[in-house]
Amino acid sequence: MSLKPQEVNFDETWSKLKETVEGVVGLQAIERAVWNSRFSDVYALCVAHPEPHADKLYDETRKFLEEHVFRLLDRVKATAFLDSTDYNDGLLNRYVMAWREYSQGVAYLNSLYSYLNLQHIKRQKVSDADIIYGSSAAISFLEHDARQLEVGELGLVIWERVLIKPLSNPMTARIVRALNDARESNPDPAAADILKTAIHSMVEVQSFRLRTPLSLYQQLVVEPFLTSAAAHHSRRAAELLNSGDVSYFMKYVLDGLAREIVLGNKFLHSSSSEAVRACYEQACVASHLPALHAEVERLLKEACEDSPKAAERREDLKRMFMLLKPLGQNAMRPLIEAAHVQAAKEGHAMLAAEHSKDEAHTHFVHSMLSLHSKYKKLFAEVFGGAQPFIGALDKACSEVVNSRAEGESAARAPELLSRYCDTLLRRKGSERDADDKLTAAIVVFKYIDDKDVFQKHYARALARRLIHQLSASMEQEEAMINRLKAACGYEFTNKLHRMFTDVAVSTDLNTKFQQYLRENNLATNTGFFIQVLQAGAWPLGGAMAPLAPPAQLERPARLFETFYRASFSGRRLAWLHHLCTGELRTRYTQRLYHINATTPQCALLLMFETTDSIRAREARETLQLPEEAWARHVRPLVEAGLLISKGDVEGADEEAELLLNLTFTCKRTKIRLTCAAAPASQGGTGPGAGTSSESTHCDDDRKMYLQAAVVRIMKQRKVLRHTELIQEVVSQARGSFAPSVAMIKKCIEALIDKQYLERSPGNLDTYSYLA
Amino acid sequence: MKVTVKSWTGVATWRWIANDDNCGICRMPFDSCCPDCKLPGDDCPLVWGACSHCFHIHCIVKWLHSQPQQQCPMCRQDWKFNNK
Repeated sequence: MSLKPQEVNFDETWSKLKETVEGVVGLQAIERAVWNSRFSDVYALCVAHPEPHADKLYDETRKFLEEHVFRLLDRVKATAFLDSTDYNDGLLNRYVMAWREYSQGVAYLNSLYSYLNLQHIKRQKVSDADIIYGSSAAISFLEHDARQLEVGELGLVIWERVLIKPLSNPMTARIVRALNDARESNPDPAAADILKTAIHSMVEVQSFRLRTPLSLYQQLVVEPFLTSAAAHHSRRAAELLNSGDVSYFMKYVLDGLAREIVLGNKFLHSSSSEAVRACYEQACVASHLPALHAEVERLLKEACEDSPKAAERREDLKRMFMLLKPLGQNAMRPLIEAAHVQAAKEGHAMLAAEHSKDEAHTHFVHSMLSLHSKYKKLFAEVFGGAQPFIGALDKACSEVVNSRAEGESAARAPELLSRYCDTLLRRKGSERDADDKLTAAIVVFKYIDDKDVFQKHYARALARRLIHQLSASMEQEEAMINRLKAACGYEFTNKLHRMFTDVAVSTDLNTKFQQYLRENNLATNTGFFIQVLQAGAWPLGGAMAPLAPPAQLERPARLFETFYRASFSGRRLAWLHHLCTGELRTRYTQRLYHINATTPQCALLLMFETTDSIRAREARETLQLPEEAWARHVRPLVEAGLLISKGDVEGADEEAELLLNLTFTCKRTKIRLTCAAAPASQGGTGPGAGTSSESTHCDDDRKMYLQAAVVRIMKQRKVLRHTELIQEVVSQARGSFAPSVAMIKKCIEALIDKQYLERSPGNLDTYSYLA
Repeated sequence: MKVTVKSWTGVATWRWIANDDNCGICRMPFDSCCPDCKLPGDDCPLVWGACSHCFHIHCIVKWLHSQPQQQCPMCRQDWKFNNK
């Protein structure tokens, strides 16, 4: 055959073509030769000479398809009673059969007409670009039949118009009814398949549309279904709530949800699964929120108890969480709130539990740790470790940790925790155990608001451990400081690091000193070890009043001073006698005792060399100790039984005497005399003693910190509003303490007085930086 | 001898002996460090000149580098490190 345009008799060719078209649409067998020649006929008609018959062909085809679909409509309708909702009356069956045949047929027809589609219709088609960027006038074409469509699409449009429109109501009614029934009992596979095909035909019929391809499906299937489903769900939820308690309700609602999702996936288009779920949640959960929320507190409380019911309640909570989670923050809030309250309540109860006063620190840390791990585990199990609940736990923990007892000005947490660490770091026990415990202590540490107070306590305890060499191991000390550094940053621990450096330098210094002694043929007569610390880096307070060291000790001290002056110019040494310790051996007793005592105590004992009794006043004057320090040093000697007091030796009693206990006995051969608790300003941690000066000291530090923060921020920003400034300061300070707004305001005032800042003229809530 | 001393562990602190409280260049206290350092102590030592004036070593070195003549900023005498 020739491809050249020829004169074609339209009527003749069309009648031939029409026959084949009928066959194709009816899915009858067509011979290949016939197909091929009809294919050419379509071509010939489209390129006919002198007039192409394309438009005519299109119109005739349309007319034919319309008639064909009308016939199908009659077949589908058959005897069905259109107002009925009985989906087994065969209407759906016949519809699906007709649809299968027709949709397939039209698809074939589309290929038969591919020349017409390609050459004639594509040219008129609106491109994607037109749809997105083109004028609305061009797009409005889409909605009208006037525009020519590809033959396959034409077939679908005709199907929608001719067959679906008149049947839409009966179809919808049957589909909705069938879906509702499918929820209760599974339909047999054949019926299910028919239902599914019928529903999906609504999607396919419009699948070629570029805009709103799902509108028919939405209108005929989804919307009616959701309306009826919502009614059904509400009824069911109300029934459930009436017939049982909340746990029962949640269990069935969750089951129902799963079934509803399966139903949706099985029969509906994938685009509507969200809507189905949302509809269910709205009807069953969202409208019964108050009933659910009312139970939250009880469930949580019971889930946390050690009762056989707890596991069940946890299951309940898990369900509750699954139900509430998709509804967003507002629905969850009461649950989160209740979790917070429950954890905080239990925490307070744990802390208030009976415990001995000496073990307050262990009790505190262990309670907090068990609280934290218990709820962490619970929330992970029940709420899948969801962020809001972890947040609630954190909030509850920090609330409990920082709670203060009535009448206390500050929380005791920092002190207790540092005491806990101190005990662990001193103990020479199984190292592994201590390491784990210290790591756990960091958990509690993170919740402490007053980290700066903790730092002070910790530094003091560390100083004591380092000076008296009480640490279990240096590695452990270092590891702990690194943990603190990881939690709180370099600034927080650099003072602690400096203490370590000093200890290392001192060891070095001792070696050098011994060498110096050897080289100069000098000797100290006694064992000698010294620690030279940098003033300011250690929380030790000022040097003590000058003490005349006893002759035996004076020599090494003087030797060392000479050595030190020669090695380091420009430095002055100050002895901290209350921290120096001497080791003595008694010779007047039956057994030999080793006594470890502070320098003044050594000096006092050495005074008994020539006599067995000394007047207290005399001794004190020889030692040049102030009254308060004298009492602190004498008391342990008396308490240990080494000295016997006659009269009030600590007070101002002129006649009071100290006697050496010549019949001293003790079970141990090593006796360690500690210096009784010194006031806080001198490095002691007497409970109660000096806490007020402690807190003012801390307050001063905080003020300096805040002022520095304000200046830093203002220097960078130049001009800043009051509220923003406060916010920034708070966020900077949070690492070490929680500042009060009043305190920040005071600091800003102070800086304005010092002319670092000024209030911007005319804009009173704004500050500007003065360079 | 009733009691003999076996050994003694001394504890002492040290601080700088300077003729002034503050460094004449950076105006920071000698007990603290120069503005470029983080920690006072061995890392930020003091030096004395032949003229007996005393500064943070970092401060005076910076000063000498910025000046054509090597003079003490306090008394304008030629600067010499006092190494005694």
